[in-house]
Amino acid sequence: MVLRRTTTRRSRSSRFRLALLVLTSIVLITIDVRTEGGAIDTARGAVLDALGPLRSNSSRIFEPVGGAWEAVSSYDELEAQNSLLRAKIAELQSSVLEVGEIERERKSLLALLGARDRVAQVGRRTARVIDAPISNYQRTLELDKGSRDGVAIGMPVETGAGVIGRISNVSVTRSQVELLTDPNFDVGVRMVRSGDDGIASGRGHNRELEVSFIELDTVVIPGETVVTSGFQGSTFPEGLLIGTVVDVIPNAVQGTQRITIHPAADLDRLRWVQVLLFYPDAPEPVIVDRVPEDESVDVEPEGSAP
Amino acid sequence: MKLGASVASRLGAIFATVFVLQVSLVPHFRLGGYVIDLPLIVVVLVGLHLNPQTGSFIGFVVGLMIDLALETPFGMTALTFSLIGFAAGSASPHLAERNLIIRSLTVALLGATATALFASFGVLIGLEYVTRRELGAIALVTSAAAIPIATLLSPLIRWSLALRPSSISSDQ
Repeated sequence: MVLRRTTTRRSRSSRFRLALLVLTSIVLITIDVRTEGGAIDTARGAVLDALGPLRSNSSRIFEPVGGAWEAVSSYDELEAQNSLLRAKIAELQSSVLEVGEIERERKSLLALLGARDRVAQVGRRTARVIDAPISNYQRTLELDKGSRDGVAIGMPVETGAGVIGRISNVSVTRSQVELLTDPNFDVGVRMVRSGDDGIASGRGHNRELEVSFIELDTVVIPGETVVTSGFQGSTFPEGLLIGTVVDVIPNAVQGTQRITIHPAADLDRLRWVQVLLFYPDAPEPVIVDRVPEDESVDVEPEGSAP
Repeated sequence: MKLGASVASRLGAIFATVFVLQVSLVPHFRLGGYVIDLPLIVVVLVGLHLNPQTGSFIGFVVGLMIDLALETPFGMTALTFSLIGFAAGSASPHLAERNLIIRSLTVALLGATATALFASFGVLIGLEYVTRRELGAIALVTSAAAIPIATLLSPLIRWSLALRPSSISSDQ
């Protein structure tokens, strides 16, 4: 009897303490979600900086071994990926001619709108991707450049192929990129053919982006190029390549179309990316001069790795 | 079970090592493209030798440490790990005198449960991190990795908790 009472009391005490821990966790989650730049972010920035050298060095050491391991553990997947890439190469070869046409179309549209082709003037900083997500729920990329290199929150990040995301967190020596497939990612976009503007939103890893607010009477065709619109105040300059239209579904009730787009850049296996040092809130001229590349970077920027 | 200073320091050393391994080595050896959650496996493994109260507390502390290195909302890993530490501690008396295989399978089951819990918390606050298919794959990878890791690390955990090598008890 006494033993049962003791056990019940202990069990109640355990549950009470668990409830306290759960409550504390919920409070912490709420504080983190609702505040920006507080003590939590500072602590995380410090941890990011502290772990930086360790992660960079381990990445250099284990990346080749990890690559071999991946080849062994996902051989079938790699084989399928190889066939897919071969098919993609064939497809790209046939569409090379179209690219020139699209570029001409884009230039003429920009000229029509009286806008400068600002993208070419924006300073860039090449950064190495530390391709080692600590968790399966982490949808950000870690870069080896931080605030001391001029990187700031909100700056666009791209490869030669197109936009991959924006800077979501910066510490002194490191930064993190929120990928454009992230459900929290939104960016103003322009359909190159029609010139109509909409908002592209991420829908999760390995899923297409969705463009909303394109009117029903706008003619949108699969394969059409989508670029950033560069609305005033946007953290993205005008004319950055986002992707191409995959599917168009009209919604008569809302009077709009649901457009899905495939990102132009390959978001997997990224090695080197470019951060666009674009400051939208800066007084005119909004474009900063080219910032010289860090001399320590001895590798030419490339798009996504093979 | 009250943790003495030597047990606490050994556990601290183990979790610090696990943390360093998770941020440096583990991400380069993915299974099917997914990262093995080593801290989760060790939390469950330790929890299976403790009472629910201590299991949940250790889960909470380790979760906070991991949260500092992640970009997911701060406290989400702590919440998941404290619940799973509690569950492991609750399962502890039922696993006494059972063999290592049962213990490893329990680690695998709780690992998969923690994966689902974390994803569910994400959905509750409007952050859908993974699709259902990915969630299933992550749970599978965690479970598959848990069995050999639990078998390998069991002697180390027993040493850190100052348990006798031959018996498995709940120590409550």
